[in-house]
Amino acid sequence: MVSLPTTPAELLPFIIAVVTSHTFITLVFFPGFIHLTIVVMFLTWYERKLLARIQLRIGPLYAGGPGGILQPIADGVKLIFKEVMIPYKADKPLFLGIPLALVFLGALPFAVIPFGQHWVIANLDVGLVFVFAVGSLFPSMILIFAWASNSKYPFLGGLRSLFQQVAYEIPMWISALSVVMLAGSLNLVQIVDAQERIWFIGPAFLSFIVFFIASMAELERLPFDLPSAEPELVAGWFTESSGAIFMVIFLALYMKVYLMSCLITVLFMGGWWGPAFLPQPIWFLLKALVVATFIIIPRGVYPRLRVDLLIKLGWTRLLIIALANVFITVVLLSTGVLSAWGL
Amino acid sequence: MPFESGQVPQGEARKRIVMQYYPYLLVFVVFDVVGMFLFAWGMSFANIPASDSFLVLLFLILLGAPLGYALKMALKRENW
Amino acid sequence: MDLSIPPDITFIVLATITLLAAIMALQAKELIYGAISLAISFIGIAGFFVSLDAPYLAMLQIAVYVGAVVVLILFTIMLVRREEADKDEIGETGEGAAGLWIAGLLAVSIAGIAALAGPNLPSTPPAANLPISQLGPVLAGSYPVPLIILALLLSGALLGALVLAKVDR
Repeated sequence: MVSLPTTPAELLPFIIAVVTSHTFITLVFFPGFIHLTIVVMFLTWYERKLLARIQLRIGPLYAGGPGGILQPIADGVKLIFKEVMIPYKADKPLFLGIPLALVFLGALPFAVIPFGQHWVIANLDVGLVFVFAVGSLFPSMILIFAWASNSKYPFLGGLRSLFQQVAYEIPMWISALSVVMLAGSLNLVQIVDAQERIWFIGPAFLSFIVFFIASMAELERLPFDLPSAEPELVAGWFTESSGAIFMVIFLALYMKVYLMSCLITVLFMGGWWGPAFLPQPIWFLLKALVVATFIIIPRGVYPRLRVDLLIKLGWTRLLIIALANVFITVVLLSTGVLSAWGL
Repeated sequence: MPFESGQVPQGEARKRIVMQYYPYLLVFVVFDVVGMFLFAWGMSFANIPASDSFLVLLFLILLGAPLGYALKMALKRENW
Repeated sequence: MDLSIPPDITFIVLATITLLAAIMALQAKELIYGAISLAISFIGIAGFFVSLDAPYLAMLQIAVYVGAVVVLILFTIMLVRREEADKDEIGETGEGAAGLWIAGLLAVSIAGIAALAGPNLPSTPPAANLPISQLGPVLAGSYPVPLIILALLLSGALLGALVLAKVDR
């Protein structure tokens, strides 16, 4: 146990102990800040290239390097130099502060997601519930931000976003409940450990479908795009954000995409397990990339869902399917069918 | 003002709240609590006797009827 | 890395945050700021739960209170029209002095009780003896009747709220 320094002589050993500790290294380097910023920027580029190929065009091409790989940096520079317009009588501290809070809360659950057997920043025993608790803070922050913009259309978009995200939280939780029952723990490292012989996408396939659809609705991606419906509501709840504020919100949205991909990988696709010729974090990143691809592709393929149909879909159909899978899991575990795979 | 075609926006912003989906919020509050209790159960499902699990399933089923009624009432739009 | 922070510092920091946020929630002019301060005070209480070795309860607090109850409070605030919310008659009826008087009485009585209890007061909270894996068995096994009563209570609350919020056109 390291204790806080009380005398100046203890300061240097304290700093050395902190910097070389596992927590600090994972926090800054691998599943922490540097990795997160690089991957989120890469994800924006990846989405644009992927959608471009689906739509039979090429996507970003000129921004340095092969295939426009520095495009996110170019976007960032452009957005920083744009003027930040704050609407008349908008609530300034909230308008400027909430995007930062969104990024903070979008990055916070990464502290518990394991990228490898030991590549986790904080191995909490309540890891999964921590992710869901932090995720439940998003709808209220979006509502406050939409209110703080003091305009009709963002407010309407913010309300729709609130109802949509709230509608898909419960099916997400119930489908994760099936995974928790199969693994017997809320600790994300133990959930991945339990998938050593079989990935949970097998026994909990219905849950996987529900969780995948619910996470696409939480991320407000097409086909659940109505709060930010580009031709209809201009940009929904972040209409009034411009320049640096838009960049921060954009980063927060893509951080959530990466978070959901990592969460689906951890819960359903076996985390870091794979044949031993690649190190564990590489398997994790590959699987997360595959999941992110499947989250991005529907944006170029499907039409948008109307908002009341969308909310009804979350509350009725998905909830019933998720509950059905909980009952199926109860039956599977009680009859011991899965004991061949160690569950 | 990216919308309204660049004209000065009119009318009081933040005018009215869409109350159409309000019952879903109430259902969400209740089932938030239920969900957290279910996580506590699901964690220890393999280690508790079947009668306790049956109790929690009964807990779920007891809440299913009000859930169905609430969702049905939420569909009738003239109530809100 | 296990950083050992003296429990007094944790308690003082959390108590300051929670109490300041709660006071701001009551005194804020703009109601939305009040709701946000309320959310911060709820997060402070969740911090208390963590420091008392009850992390699951802390997560439940954040998910239920800050996630759902604060949303309902925000809704209510946004339903109130602006001109009804900007009354500035608060502060003229001497409630500040009354509050200080009551707080002083409370502080004196707590100090008196602590002095009477003498050296028997524990200075650190007792270690938790309920690990998280035992939470489910205790809930379902030792408290079956409260569980069913909880189901009925939640159903009643849900249906009651719906009936109250219904508008008869």
